[in-house]
This record gives sequence, C-alpha cells and structure tokens, in this order.
Amino acid sequence: MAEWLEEIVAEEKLLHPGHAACAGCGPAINVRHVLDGLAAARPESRIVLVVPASCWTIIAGIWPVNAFGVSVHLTPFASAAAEASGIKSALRLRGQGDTQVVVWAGDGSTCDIGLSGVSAAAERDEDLVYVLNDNEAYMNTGVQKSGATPEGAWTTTTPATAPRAGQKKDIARIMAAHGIPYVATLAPGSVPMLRDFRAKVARAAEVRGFRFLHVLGACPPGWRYPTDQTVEVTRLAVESRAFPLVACDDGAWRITYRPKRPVPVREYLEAQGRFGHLSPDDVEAFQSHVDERWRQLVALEGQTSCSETPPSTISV
Amino acid sequence: MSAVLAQGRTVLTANEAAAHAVMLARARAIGCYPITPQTIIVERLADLTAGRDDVEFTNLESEHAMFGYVIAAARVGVRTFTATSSQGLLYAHEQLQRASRERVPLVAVNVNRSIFAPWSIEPDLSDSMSQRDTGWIQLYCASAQEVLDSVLCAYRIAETVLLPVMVCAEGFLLSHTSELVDVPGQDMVDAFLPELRPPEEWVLDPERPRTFSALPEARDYDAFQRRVADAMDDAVSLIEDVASEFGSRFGRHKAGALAIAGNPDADTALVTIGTIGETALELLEEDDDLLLVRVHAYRPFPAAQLSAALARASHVAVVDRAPAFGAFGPLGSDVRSLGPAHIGAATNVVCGLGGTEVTPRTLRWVLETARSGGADGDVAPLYVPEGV
Repeated sequence: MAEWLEEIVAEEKLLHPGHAACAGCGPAINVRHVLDGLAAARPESRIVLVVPASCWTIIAGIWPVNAFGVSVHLTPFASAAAEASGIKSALRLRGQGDTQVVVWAGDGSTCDIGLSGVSAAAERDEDLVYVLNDNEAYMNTGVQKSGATPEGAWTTTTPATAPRAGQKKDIARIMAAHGIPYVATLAPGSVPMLRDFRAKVARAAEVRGFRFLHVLGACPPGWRYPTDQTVEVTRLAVESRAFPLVACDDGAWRITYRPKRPVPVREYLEAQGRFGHLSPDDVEAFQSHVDERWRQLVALEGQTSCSETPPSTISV
Repeated sequence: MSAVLAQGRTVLTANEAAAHAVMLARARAIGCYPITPQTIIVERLADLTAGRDDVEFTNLESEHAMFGYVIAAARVGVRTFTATSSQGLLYAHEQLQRASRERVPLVAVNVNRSIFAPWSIEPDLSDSMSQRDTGWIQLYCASAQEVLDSVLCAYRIAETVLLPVMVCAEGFLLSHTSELVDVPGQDMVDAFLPELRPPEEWVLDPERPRTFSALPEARDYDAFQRRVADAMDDAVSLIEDVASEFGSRFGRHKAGALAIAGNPDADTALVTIGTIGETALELLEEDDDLLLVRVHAYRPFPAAQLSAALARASHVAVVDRAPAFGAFGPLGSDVRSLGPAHIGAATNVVCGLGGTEVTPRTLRWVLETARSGGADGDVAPLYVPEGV
C-alpha cells in the first residue's frame, strides 16, 4: 500500500501548482487523479480536456496562464458533450483518433442544462470519458441549488427556511440506463477509496465508447465545513452510504466498496453546515432514503452481476 | 454506398444546390439536426457521405449542440458544415456569438423561415436578421445558383479572415424551387478552394497542450473583440475580391456585396435583399427611371458601396422582409444610417412576413410611396396596406 501511494505521489501531475481553486477544493484533488490516472493507463495517448462554464474556467488560470498540462477546450454551459464529440470526430479525421477526449463538467452542466447533450452523446456511444465533477450545487455562482443537490440541503436559492425539496437526481443510474459500456461512482475519502478511484479511472481508460465517471467533489464554501476536512467529509459520504461507490461495467452492477460498519448518515450531515437546520425527523427521512437506495443497488448487483465476472482491475 | 453528385447543367432546388456545394468544398465534419425547410440539405448530405470514412456526419440533439459540434471540430483544423432555419438558428444564438468571437471559420446555410409566435414555416428574414450583430458574415441569395456559388465563396472568405459565414436562402421560394443550376467540376473547385490551413497556433492540437478562450483581463478581452471587428473590416474588400476571382475562374458573374441593375442615373433607387430583388427586376421592363440595388453581403454592411450606388438617386426606397419592432426594419435602419440626407430620409417598407407574397404590384406601391415624399420624418417603417 505504501509503495503504491509513493508511486501516486511521485507521478507527473497534469494539474500544476498555482491553480486558482479554493483552499480544500475536493475537485482539485479529483481532477488530478482523473488526468494522471488516464495518462498512466495509456501513456502513449494524449489527452484533450473539454470544460464547460464552471469553477474550472477560473481555476484553469487567467489568460495566458494555464494550470493544466493538457489541451483545454472551454465551452458554453450546455454543450460540452457535443463539443467533445466534435473534437473526437476531427481528431479521427486528422489521424489522432487515439487521443483521450475527456469532459470535466459540473453537476449543473451535467444534470441540468446540459443533460440532453450528455444523454445524446451516450446514446450515440461517442468514444469519450465524461467526468461529472459533482459538488452538489452551482458553486461558481455562489451555491445555488442544482438537480444534484441532496434533499434538505441549504443553498442560497433553497434557504434553510425553504430547504431543497425532492431527491438528488440519480445520474449514475440514468446514464447506465443508456446501455453505455462503463459507469462508475468515485470519491477519494481514504486510501482504499483512492485505490477504488484509480482502478475505475484505469478501467475507463481501457474501455472504448461512452464512459461516465460520477465523482463526488467536496466543497468547503458550498458545503460549509472547515477546509482541512475535505477528505474526512468525503470519507463520511461513502462510509454512511450517502454516496455509494459502485460500477456498472458492460451492464453488470457491482458495489465496489462496502463499508464494514456503516456510519449513521447523521454523522455525515453533522459534519457540514449546509445540513445544520435539519430536524431529527429530516435526518431520519434522509437515512431511510439512503438505506432504500442501498437496497436497490444490492438488488441491482444481485440481478446483473451473478453471471458476470467482475473485472479484476476494479477490485479493492 | 454514397449517392452520386450531379455534374454540369442540371436541375436542383437551392437545398440540393447547397448540399452539392458542401460536397464540392470537401467539408469533412458535418453536424445535423432537422428543421423545415432546411432538412433536405442534411438529408442529401447524409446520402452523399454515407459509407465514407473521410467524412464524419453526426446527428446531434439540438442546434445548440450542432453548432458546438462544428465549432469544436473546426478548432481541430477540419472544414465543417451545418445548416438550420428559424427556431434552430435562434436556439443556437449563444454558439453564433461565440463562433465569431473565437474566430472559427464555419460555413452554415440558414434557410430563412419566419419565427414563432404564431407558428409559420413560411419564409421571411426575421431569423437571420435577428442574428445580424453576432459577428457572422451574412450572404443573402436570390437563386439556387447563387446559393451554390456563395457556399463555395463562403469557405474562401471564412478561412481567409477566420470568421464564420452564414449563407441565407429563403425557404420554399428557393429551398424547394427547382432551377437550372450549373454544378462545377471538382477540379475547378479544388483549384479555387485549397485545403483548410488555419494558423498553427490557432489549432487545438493534443501534441501542443494549451488552453483556448481562457478568461482574460478586461483589456485583453477588449482587444480580442476589436480583432473581430478588424476581421469584419477586412472582409469588406475580400468579399469583392473572392467574387471577382470566382467569376473569372467559373465563367459566370458572382455578386460581391451588391447586385446592381437598371439605370445608374435614375432618380429613384430601390434597395432590396433576397428574392425580392429578383421580383424587382420585372419593374425594369416598364420603368427606365429606376436603379435596383440588391444587398447580397449584408454583414459586413457594405456602407461605402451602397453610398456610391445611391449617390445619384433623389428618392430611395428600402424593402425589408423582417420587422425590427420599435424601429425601422433592419436593412432600412442600416441604409438610413448612411449619408447624405436623401439616403438618410429613405422610405422603408416592411413586407412579405410569414410568406406573404411580394409581387411587382407590391413594389410599384413602394416606389409610388417613395416618389411622393415617402416616409420623411417617420420614426418607423411603413407596412404595405392589405391587398397591395
């Protein structure tokens, strides 16, 4: 384990120091592991990153400075998937079809304004790695509710006096329903979880067609927790099963990380100010929704995975 | 197995002529989304490119996505094409603004159709006129031949100044009307239109990592916009040069910014755009005190050429096929912005909306109105009375 970690620390980083992310930015950790993982899995191929309007139009740097070690194509909010398809088409025509074209898009872009584009690119089975950088609200504009905001969460447009009604959109299952070759959820809350994360990135690099990675990106200003707690909050999201780590590989679902002793969801919620106004009844309702979704995932795994051999690369 | 391109003199609709031009231009990434009356263009291109591995033909899920697709493909250095109409063009507005600011040499055909509400699929120019300030060069056509020729010229223009070009053709009047069209040979087109070679530093190349269109400081943002304006200025003379080169290579006249007919010393001038300019030609048979000016290149606006053409007329009438609510029609305001005073007082008439017929009789009414003092002092255009 220590040796593996040393390798990870030593590798060349494709997100350079000096970027403009906030202190404690979860997605800044995540994008580096996505890019470095894809590069390590296919060292012979280049990467083009497609980024719609988001925090990352700023984090990338003020022109002409650039924090990324790969080409970055910036797009309007709703068209990242279509533009990634255009880049892939053109690279094929120019004999550079081996390039890994990667979308790095937020939850507003993916679950709301750009969903038709993500769905269409998936349905066309475009040869792309689409990464949903899910920080569960419109963070770049100052924390507004998106389709990926969890129930009850405070945002500036769902204030504590009128909290978010309805459930977080289950985007991983929506994408899997397209019959695409690979869907996975990722969150690096511990070393074993990081291993799971990197194994899924490696698997995504290996598969061809539309691959969808749903990455949980903890956000200190948006979720209202101290900047040194990003990894811990991420860990609690997974250990409480609020954000289960799963993969759907060629139609076969698998829970790739099973918390040995699941922590109550209350602990995850209490670690963040955005849930501070929830009553014990609200927390109980949240817990029951988490439990129900876990039961559904266990059932999916039972239905689809028995006859399949799970790929060894994503074993934890 | 792909369908075969017609050659030589043949009968085509403007939609088919556009598809032929795109194939002759060797566009390699084509984005498709249906909308009446444009759809036949992309249907023909689907047939003509079927089974070819040197063309990527992609069905997108919206016009916004479609323009995003071709913009991205062009950034990698590939010649692209797309086509739309009406609501589709409006839906893509965000991408239209961005394409010019990012200096993407796209060519798109807009088959002009009125816009909702209420619903209509009939022609007027409201769709593309509402996009006139997006930084696209706009060429308005009056025949299927002019559509074919303009698409070929559009690639030359776009790729020289690095700005997108929109070739506009009225729905049904052109898109679905069969005409005799001369389809040039591939060799001639290849000689006129070399392979796309954008500046290397502009191309998104995975081997040379860099970020495009990143957030700049305010003064740099300002400088980028000025370069777009400068490129538009450069396009004014380029459009004339490309048209004249086209004329000598292909052996037929190609309009530059303006198509001028009639008596250059006439007292009355009629300024039109699109197929109304073809209808106006009939008036010359009965009226020898008439100068006809059809605006082909509407953006960049050919101010100097128009001022020169209208210098000798004492009555100027401008016919718009699109409203600009609360102001003169788009072409009317632009013409009235020119000096001297007789042009500034031009009579502006808006007609032909939603496919309403514009006949020689309509245009006679326009001329009578202009000759009798017209709209001097008015702050809004005239609408043609019912029955005219």
